[in-house]
Amino acid sequence: MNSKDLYNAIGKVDDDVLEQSEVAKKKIGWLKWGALAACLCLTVGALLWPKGPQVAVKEIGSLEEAAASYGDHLLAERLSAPGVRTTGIRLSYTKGGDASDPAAWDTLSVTGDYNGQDFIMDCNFNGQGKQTSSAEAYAVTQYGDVEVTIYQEESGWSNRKPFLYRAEFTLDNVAYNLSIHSDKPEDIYTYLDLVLGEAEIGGNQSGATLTDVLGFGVCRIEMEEIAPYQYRWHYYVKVDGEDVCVAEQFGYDGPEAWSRDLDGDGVPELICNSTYGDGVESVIVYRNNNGIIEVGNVRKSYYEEKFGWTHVLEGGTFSLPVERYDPEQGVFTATDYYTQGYDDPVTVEFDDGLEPFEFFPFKHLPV
Amino acid sequence: MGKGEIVLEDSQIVELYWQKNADAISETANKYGPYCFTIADNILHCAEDSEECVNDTWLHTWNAIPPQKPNVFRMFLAKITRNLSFNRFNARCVDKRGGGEIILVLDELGECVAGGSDVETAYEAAELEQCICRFVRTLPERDRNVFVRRYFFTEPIPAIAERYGLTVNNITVILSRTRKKLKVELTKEGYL
Repeated sequence: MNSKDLYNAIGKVDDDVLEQSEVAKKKIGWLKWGALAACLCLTVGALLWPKGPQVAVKEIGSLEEAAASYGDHLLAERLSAPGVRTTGIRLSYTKGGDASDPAAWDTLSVTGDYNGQDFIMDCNFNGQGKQTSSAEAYAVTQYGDVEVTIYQEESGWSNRKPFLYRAEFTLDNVAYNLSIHSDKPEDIYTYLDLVLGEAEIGGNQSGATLTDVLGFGVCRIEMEEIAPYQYRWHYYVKVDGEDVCVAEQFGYDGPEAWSRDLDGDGVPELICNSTYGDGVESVIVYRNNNGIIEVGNVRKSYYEEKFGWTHVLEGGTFSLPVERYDPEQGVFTATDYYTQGYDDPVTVEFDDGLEPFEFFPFKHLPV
Repeated sequence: MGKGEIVLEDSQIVELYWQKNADAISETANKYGPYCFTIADNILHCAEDSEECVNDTWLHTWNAIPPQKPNVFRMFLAKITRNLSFNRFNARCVDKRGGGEIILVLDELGECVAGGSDVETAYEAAELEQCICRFVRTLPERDRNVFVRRYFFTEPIPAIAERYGLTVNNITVILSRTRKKLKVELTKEGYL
């Protein structure tokens, strides 16, 4: 058999598979701002699709001014992690609407500074200022020994995905809440399989059934679809009786997250293979630093010092290697497609504990 | 397609073929001419050859319907165009270097069959096709789409990246991983 035989055989792929490749839309992801983007996650709503009303824009000088204008509705505070200095806030809202009414809000962009690093964050709204809670139990189903309740809500995403399907159940004392946007309820079962299915169909995935994270017992795990087919998993623990999210994993495939003690202090870190909306694959590590939850990425300087990768291309373009954690070998890998070109990628392995990472405070944004 | 022209639904066009109404061809060309040309040109990288393959596509479609009644007419045309274009690519006696995306695609697919036994493995083409169909369905949706755009539609990697809003880098990685998976599958199924 040669490559032409293979090419010919691929010519018989089923029509529905071919058609799906044409129907699938461009994924409009969130921006990647290097490490800080990973530590501040954002609510992504119906803005991903075009809306009818045009928007007006209001520039706000400071967090204090914005708080004075919008009071309790101000999300800019939630966008700012500890230690972040807010340098600007820009609110866009429905033209002709009331800027003080969150239902008219479209996006809220916050610019800031963290240890000298500039960044921008966007928060999108669903046209009603927040998520609605008009769910009705759609079905109750038995999944092995686990009873799963599925809810159906209206979704503002698109005509192709008119509903939000949400599945709730409890497994090993962990409460689960998984949700997707779709036009048919059976699609939620694909994601139930990640938690409740047998291993051979992709079930019991490492990140889907975590019971301990960063030295805490997990009490709740949530999965949300933040852009078409892109998912974010939230891990909650109990702190003073409250559910607090201490880590998140996001990407297009199942939740690739593993607990490993990288620094040997007896408290495991959480390693996440994550994929941004623009397709950039990065490793994100969470740690419990004496009670403060921090999130980290591999430092650019680590790549420069250890492998001589500068990441800055001609014309100033910035490139990042493809990063992955290999749980079986217990090593990180990084592949650089720029130094020697796409046809000759360079892959390196490293296992230096937490030394390659730089950390920022993690602050979870409620959905 | 001119401004104000009415474009028929696929089912209406197929019905014209069944009625042996010659308008079927002009309607097909009107609606799918550019679509089929792109598929052909990705393989042939030559406007003249591609145009001829597209015209041959209409003829083959005319001969095939009836008795066939395609479920997805556009994909039915895509498969015919691809097949004719690849046959022409194999047959033409020109320097194939620099011959467009197909050269790269075949090189990439060569990775999947490299390292197999030197002895020609006997197999049924239909079985291999079924194996590929099953394999493609096991892929995550995003990877499946990328695989199909590259190895069925022979699209350039930057075009796939643009289509799905991913980086060229990411598409390259997805394809590389999928090829490795395919090689494992082909080995497991005894093709290598």
